[in-house]
Amino acid sequence: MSERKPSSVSTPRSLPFAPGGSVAQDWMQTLVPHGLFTTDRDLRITSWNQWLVAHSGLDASGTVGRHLTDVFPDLEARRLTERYARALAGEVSVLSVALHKYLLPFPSTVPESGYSHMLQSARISPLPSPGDGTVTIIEDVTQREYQAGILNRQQELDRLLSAALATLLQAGDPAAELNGIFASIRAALSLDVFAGFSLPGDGSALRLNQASGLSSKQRELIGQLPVGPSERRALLRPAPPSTLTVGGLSELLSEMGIHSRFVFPLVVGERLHGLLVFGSYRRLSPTVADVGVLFRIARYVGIAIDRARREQETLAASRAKDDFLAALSHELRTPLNPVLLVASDAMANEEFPESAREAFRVIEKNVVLEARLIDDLLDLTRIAHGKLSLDLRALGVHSVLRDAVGTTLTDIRERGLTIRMQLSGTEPRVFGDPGRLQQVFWNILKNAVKFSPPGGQIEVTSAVDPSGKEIVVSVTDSGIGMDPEEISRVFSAFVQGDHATPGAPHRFGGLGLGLAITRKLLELHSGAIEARSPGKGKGSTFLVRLPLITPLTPDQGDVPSTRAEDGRIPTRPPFGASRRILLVEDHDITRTTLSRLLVRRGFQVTSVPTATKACDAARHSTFDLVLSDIGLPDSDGFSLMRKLRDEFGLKGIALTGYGMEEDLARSTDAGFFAHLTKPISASVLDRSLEQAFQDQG
Amino acid sequence: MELTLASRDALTELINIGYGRAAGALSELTGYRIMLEVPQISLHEIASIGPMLEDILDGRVASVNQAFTGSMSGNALLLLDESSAIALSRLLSEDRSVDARLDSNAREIITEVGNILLNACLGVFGNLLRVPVSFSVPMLSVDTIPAILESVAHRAREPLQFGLMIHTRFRIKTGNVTGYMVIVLGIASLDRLMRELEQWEQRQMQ
Repeated sequence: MSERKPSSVSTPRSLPFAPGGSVAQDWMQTLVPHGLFTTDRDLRITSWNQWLVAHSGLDASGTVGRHLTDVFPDLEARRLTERYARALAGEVSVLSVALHKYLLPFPSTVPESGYSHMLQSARISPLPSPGDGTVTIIEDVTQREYQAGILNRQQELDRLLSAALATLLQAGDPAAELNGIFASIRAALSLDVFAGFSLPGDGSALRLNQASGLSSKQRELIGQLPVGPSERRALLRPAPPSTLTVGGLSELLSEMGIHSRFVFPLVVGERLHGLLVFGSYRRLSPTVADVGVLFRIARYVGIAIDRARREQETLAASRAKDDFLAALSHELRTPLNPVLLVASDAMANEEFPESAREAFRVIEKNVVLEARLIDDLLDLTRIAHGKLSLDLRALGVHSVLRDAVGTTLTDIRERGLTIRMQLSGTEPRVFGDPGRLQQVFWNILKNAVKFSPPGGQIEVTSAVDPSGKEIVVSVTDSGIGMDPEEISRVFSAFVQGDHATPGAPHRFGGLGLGLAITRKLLELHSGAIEARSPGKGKGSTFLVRLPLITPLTPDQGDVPSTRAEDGRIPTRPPFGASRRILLVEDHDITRTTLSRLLVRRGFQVTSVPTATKACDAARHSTFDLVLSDIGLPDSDGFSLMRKLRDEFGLKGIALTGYGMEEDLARSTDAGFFAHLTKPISASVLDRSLEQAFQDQG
Repeated sequence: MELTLASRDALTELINIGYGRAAGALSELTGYRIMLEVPQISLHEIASIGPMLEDILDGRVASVNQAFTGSMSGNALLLLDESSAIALSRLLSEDRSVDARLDSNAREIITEVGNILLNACLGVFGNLLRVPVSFSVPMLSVDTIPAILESVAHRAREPLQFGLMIHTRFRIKTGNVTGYMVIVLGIASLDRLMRELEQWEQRQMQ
């Protein structure tokens, strides 16, 4: 009994200032969930509440009566005694946890928080009667700070995740972004090492593509990881990222001293695209949230790579389709070539009886039509897919128009039509693709010819629009005409006028693609086309509008230059026997036919089936011109032409079934001055040859 | 009512002494050198203070408000625009986060800074003017100027009529933080302040 401590020592001394009597005093002493202590004016502790006893491990006997700095010496070192001096002078001080962490060094109340001390916010105030001393209220904010820390980290991780996601969504090649993404997360997740593997080819080995934090030697060690069938199956199954291993990767990383490893297969559905490895030289104890971030990043990367790969496949498929169309066009045209050459040559051969020549004319006409249909179908497909690109340049509309008229003169003559041209005085200049604009005018003229009765008249005029900004070309025929309903449908694909309704005799042939293509081509030129007709049997007019580069005044355009042209076939050019042509063509029948045709025109022809033989020939003989196919068995015509031009100074004409734009561009690049798309008629070939030798002088 | 040239000088000197103390306390707290500009002092009717402050402080404002009582009573306010408050709290805590809001840490820091600055200022009244005042615990609010002033008026013991505007700027490290201090007084307290100022001046001359 004598050992019992006096009650005044074991129970903390009552607080001296509590207003409202003993209930409030008791409350502050025993129940209040804050630390509460008072000092006198000499900073000797005068009261110490139950909360403080519980958290400091010091009861009132160890504190009351002692000087504050005796009990807590570090207050002096942390300059906090100054706050007590100010409190004695009447000031209230607040201590924020952000700046001071704590006032009194108590053990942490949240062990999992990692804080060594209880975090406290404190208020130091003078007692109500100034000079009596101070009162300090301490609040434990450890839990609050711990939770705020977790929330902040979560927010930070969310931010990293969404930044990574945004990067991946914008990336054309997601794998290339991996190093950047790793750089953004490494610090927050205490990572040192990153490695990204892809699974190329047959999927038998993973290949290291990107790495960070690894020496070149280390990279070499894990450069290739064999993947067996059982490992592959294992990678497709979800597994904890610290246990996953493949091709001895875990052991290799372990030997490198990478103690913490996180391995994520990039799997979407049943498709395995590769592997992401994150690691640290330290032994980390990552939270679920940390691993979750890595997991989600790996998942995003997998999906992004999967998406990119599928896009590539789609692209490749679409390219394959284009290639297929080009090849199809080539294959469809190649057999037409010799037929057209023979027919077009024979129909003009005076040695044959007229009946035979007429038969050849029919053959020639239908072959040309067939080739045109193939072209139209290809064009329409390309326009529909937005694949048609124009080679725009400044050009004169009239010269293009005259060329187009030139190509239809044969038909005009044959049908006994007359054509009148009345063009505006100044050559109107527009931005256009010469080949495509010629196709536009050719389509319209061809239509006019097709639908005009024998002996009819076609009139071609051009005039500057009153605004001065457009050139208007009109083609008027005296043909079958259209009613308003037909006019409204005339530019739709696969539609022809009433003459072509099912059941009605299909007098005029064609698929009805020409005008649809014409309109699309003009739209691509920022131009327009319009059809007019006073009615059935009263002829039609097609108006083409194209924007001028330099606005002209209508006056300038009103000076007419009238020029009538009849349908005479141009006389065959007088080609001398001195010209030597090297003909390179692998299609036997085409080569033989073409060679015969050229010989008949007086040329000396050397014909070879391959590029190698062409080079041999060029080495041993001198030539004036090369006529070469593009698709050769041992090389392509472009490389051949380049070589012949560079080594022997030759010029050439390309012959090809490929009608694609890029071929035309490459053909000019390689040094061909003309590009003839098969099938080639004798007259077209003659024109090109004439031009070639004119240019040569 | 206007401040005479003499009393403005006296107040400026007084406040400057207080500020010197505040800067010292703040730089000890933060470990940075604090540059305080010489404060400009002016007296305004309370109704015109709101619009004036709104002109210089845009949008939401962090205010630390500390009421004082005694033979002179009123309210002392430290006002910082929100971005200055965030910048200041970041400088003091070495916080590198990109959060553009005042979180609980930042609020505590601003409260403590406000507490130090306001006490230092008001302390001179007690110490030099021999007008002992006692302080309430500082309160932080983030609000618009009219809302802040309204809540001050609401809690005041006597009708508040005049505001002593102390306009200063302080720089910490590279951060440029502009702050304003306003001491709002009732007519009786202002009268007391003026009389004490005169006496203080006389004491200085002796």
